[in-house]
Amino acid sequence: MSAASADNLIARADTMRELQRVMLKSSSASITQQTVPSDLPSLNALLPDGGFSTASLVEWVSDLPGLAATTIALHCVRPFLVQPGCLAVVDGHHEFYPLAARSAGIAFSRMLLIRPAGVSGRISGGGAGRLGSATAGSQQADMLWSLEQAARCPGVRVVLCWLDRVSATVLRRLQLAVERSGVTVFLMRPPSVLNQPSWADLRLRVSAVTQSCQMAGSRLSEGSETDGQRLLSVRLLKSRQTVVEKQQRALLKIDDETGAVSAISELADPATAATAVV
Amino acid sequence: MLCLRFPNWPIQRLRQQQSSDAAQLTAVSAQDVVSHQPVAVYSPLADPSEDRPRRRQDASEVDLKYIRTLFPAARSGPAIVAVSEQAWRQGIRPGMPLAEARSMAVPVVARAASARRKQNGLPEVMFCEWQPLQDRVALTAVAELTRRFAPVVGLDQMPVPDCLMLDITGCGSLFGSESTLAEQLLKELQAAGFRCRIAIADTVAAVWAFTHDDTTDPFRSAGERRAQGGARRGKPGGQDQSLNLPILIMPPGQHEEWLKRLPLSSARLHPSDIGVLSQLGLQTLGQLCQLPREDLPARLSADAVLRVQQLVGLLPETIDPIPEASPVQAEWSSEFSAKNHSDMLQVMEHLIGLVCEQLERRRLGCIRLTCQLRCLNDGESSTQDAGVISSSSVVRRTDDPAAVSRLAAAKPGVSASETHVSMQNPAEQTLIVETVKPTQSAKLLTEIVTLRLEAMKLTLAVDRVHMLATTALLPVGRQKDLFDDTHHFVPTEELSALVSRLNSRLGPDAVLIAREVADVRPEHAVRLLPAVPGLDDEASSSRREDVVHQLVTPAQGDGSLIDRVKTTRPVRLLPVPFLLTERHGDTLLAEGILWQGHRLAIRQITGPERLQTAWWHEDAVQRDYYRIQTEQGPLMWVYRDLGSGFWWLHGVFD
Repeated sequence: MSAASADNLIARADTMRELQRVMLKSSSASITQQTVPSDLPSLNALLPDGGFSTASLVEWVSDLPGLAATTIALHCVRPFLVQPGCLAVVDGHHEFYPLAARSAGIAFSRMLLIRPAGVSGRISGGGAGRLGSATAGSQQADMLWSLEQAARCPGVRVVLCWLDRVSATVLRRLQLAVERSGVTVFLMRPPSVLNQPSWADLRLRVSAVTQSCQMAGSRLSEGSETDGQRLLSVRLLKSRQTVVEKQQRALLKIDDETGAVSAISELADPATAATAVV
Repeated sequence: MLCLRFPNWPIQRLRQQQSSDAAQLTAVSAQDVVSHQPVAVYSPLADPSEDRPRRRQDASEVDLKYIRTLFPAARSGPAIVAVSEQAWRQGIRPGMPLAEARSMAVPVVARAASARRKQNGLPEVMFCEWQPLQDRVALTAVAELTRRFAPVVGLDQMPVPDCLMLDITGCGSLFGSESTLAEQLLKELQAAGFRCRIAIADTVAAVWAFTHDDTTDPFRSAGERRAQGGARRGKPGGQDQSLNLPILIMPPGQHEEWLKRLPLSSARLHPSDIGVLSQLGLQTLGQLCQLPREDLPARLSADAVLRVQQLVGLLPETIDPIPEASPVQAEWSSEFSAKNHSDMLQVMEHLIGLVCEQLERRRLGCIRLTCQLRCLNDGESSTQDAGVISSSSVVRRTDDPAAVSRLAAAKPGVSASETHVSMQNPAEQTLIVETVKPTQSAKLLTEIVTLRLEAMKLTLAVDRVHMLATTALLPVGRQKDLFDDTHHFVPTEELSALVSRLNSRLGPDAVLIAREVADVRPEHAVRLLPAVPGLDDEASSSRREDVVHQLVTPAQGDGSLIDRVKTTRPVRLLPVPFLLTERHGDTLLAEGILWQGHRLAIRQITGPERLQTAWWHEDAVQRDYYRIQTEQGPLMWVYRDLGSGFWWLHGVFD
C-alpha cells in the first residue's frame, strides 16, 4: 500500500469519526448544554468536550466500594458550584459524611442532604433483608422519587446519589428530567450494572492501579510514588457524544493524608514510541 | 402619625373591582377599556325605604345623610356623588342630579349623539349606584396591606371616609427613616393599582389636613367638594405647591406654621359650620385658630369645637384601630363523606382554591396549612388509629392525656391546641404542611398536600375538613417572560419549592443541612439540621429563606467556594460502627478484613490518630483510628476502642 493511499484511508476514517460525533451530538442536544471542566486536566482530556456537561447523567462505576470514586466525583462537583445552585446529596443509606466534602472545596452551606428513610447500610451490608419487602420497596421508591425531584429542580446544580440496580425506565426518566432542568446527576454505581444498558450520557469506571498493573502495563511519570497515596485509573466506558476508544484512561493520585486528588501523566511505552518513529 | 388618603375613593374602588373582573377574562383590551371608561357614581333614591328597601340595608346611614347634606340635589332624587376624570371632562360634576348628568352624557338626540361620540372617540359614561358600605369595606381591606408599616391602623372617623390613619411612632428606624417608610408604602400601593397621598406629621388633625388640601387639583371628588364646603370656595392665593406632592413629611413641631395657610376645608368641619365661618369672612385655618376659644361653642356645633381643639393641640386624638382581619381559612362539610384519597384530594383542591383566593385578595402568602379532618366515628372506627398526624406523618393515638402532653412537647409541629382538639374527639386528625417561602400558588400547595395525603393512612371516612393558613408577608414578585419562562427561573424559588415538596413527603428529618460542631467524635462532628426549621417564632420564616438563599448563592469574591480543607475523614461514615474483631490487632493484620463476604488482605496501615473526649464527658470515648489500605484497593477507616480493645470499621474512603 502506498503512502498516499494510507493517508487517504486515515483521512477518511477521521471524517467518518467526525461525522459520527456530530450526528450523536445533534441527536442528543435538546437543550443548551454547558461544559464544566473539572480541576483534573487528565480527566478532562478523557471527556468528549473537555469537561462534564450540564443537563447530563453521569455514571461512576466503582469496582469496589472504597476506591475513592465518590472523592473524585466530589472534586468534579466543585466547579459546578461556582454558578448559582446547590449540591443535592440523595443519601438513601445515611452514610455520606459531609465533612469529607470540605476537602473537595464544597462548603456546608451549599449542600442539601436528602435522606429518605434509611434503606440499609451499604457498607455494613445486609439491612434490606431485615426489613419487610413492602417497607424496603417503599423506602426505595422514596429514594428514587427524591432523586427524580432533585433532578427536575433547576435550583439544584448537581445531584449526587448512590444507586444500585434499577430499571431502565428509572434511568430514562432521570435523563428526561435533567434534559429539562439542566441539572447534572452523578450516579455512584456498583460494578454489577456494567452489563446493563444505560441512558447515561457518560459512564466512567474507576479502578485501582495495583502494583502488578503498574509493572505489567504502563510506566508512570516521576512523582507517582504510592506511599500514603492511591493510584486510580478512570476509564470512559460510554459517551453519547463521541465514539469511545478503549485505551483511553486517566490516571489520578489521591493523597490519603490530605484527601487531595491530582492527575499524573502516563509516559509512553518506549517500545511503542520507537515503532512509531520507524 | 401618617395619613394615607385615596382621592376619589368611590371611583378608585369601582375601578379596582372592574379590573379584577376584567382580569378574570384575561383580556388585556378589557382591562384597558375599564381604566379609560368614564364612570360616575350616584346616590340612591331620596327615600330608599319606599322604593328600594333592599338597597337601604347596604348603605351606611351616616354617609348617606352626609352626602344629602352636602349635595342638596341628593335630597330629592339620585345625584352624582363622584366622577372619574374622563367623566369630569364631559362636564359631569358631583352634586349634579342624575337626570342632568345622563342628559349631558347622552344628549336628547341619542342616536346622533352616539354617532358623534363614536366619531370623536368619546366613550360612553357608565353610571353606577353608590355603595358607601362597600367603600368602607374595601378601605378596610386596603388597611391589611399597610399592616407591616405600622402597628396601629385606623379608618378615618369622618363620614364618607377616604383615608387611613397609621400610627408610625418609632417605626421609621425600621425602614431607615420615615421618608423611606413613606416611599415604600406609596410604591406598594401604587403597584397594587391605587392612587394615594401620604402625609406625616405630629397629630391626626394635621396629617388629615395636609392630605386633604388639594384645592389646586382641577379635578375634585365628592369628598373634596365636601371638604371645601360645596362649590363656594375657589383657589386660595399663596398656596404652596409643595403641599400637593404625593408624600409630605412635616418635621416635628413645625406643622402649626404650615397649617395656618390651609383653607377651612382642611379642618374636618361639617359643611354647615364651614358656611358659618365663611359668613364671618374666615378663609384659612390660621384665622380660625385666632378666634377666641370661648366664643366657638356659641357659633359652631359641638363636633366642630372638638375638631378645632384637636387641631390646635388642646385635646389629644388617638386612632381607632381596625381589628386584625379574620384568619385565612376555609371549611368543607358534607353528608357524603370522603372515603378515599381521591375524594380527599378533590376536597383539598377545593379548599386550597378558596384559601388562595383569600391570600391573593389580602396580598399574603401561606407558609403553613393546618387541616383538621373530622372522621366519622362509628362503632368500628373507635378501635382504629385516630389521632394527630404530625409534621413527620406519625400517626399516634391521643386518648391518653399524658401521651398528648408528651407529644406536644416532643413535636414542635404539633401545637397544644391541636392536641387538645384531638383529645376531645379521638376521630379528629390534623394534617400540617409547610412551605419554605410564603406562597399564593394553589398548584404548589395542592402538590405538597397531595404528597402528604399519599403518605397518610386514611382509615376513616372524613365528613368535615377545616383548613387554616398561617400567613406571612409575600416576597417581592418578579417579572416573568411573556412567552416562555423555562429559561428564566429563579434558583431560590425553584429550590424552595423542591424543599417544600421533599419536606412534605419525606418529613423534616429527611431534608437536611449540615453544620460543623466542635466535637472530636466523628459521629458528632457534623450536626444535621432540618432545612425547614419549625415555625416557632416570627423569625422562622426569614430563617427558612436564608437557608435556601445560602444553598443557592455562591460565595463572594472570586466565585470560588471554600479553600480545600485537609482532612482524613472518609466520605462514608457508618451510622453504627461495624465490629471487625474482638481480638488483638496482630490477628487483624494477619487475617485481613472480612467485609461483605470478601476477605480483604491488608497492605498498609497508617496511624494511629487518637481521638478521645474528656473523662468527665457522659459519652467519653478513647479511640485510635487507622487508615487501612487493602490489597484490592479500598481504603478503610478503622478504630480500636481503647477501653474494650475491639476493632471497629467506622468508615470507607469512597
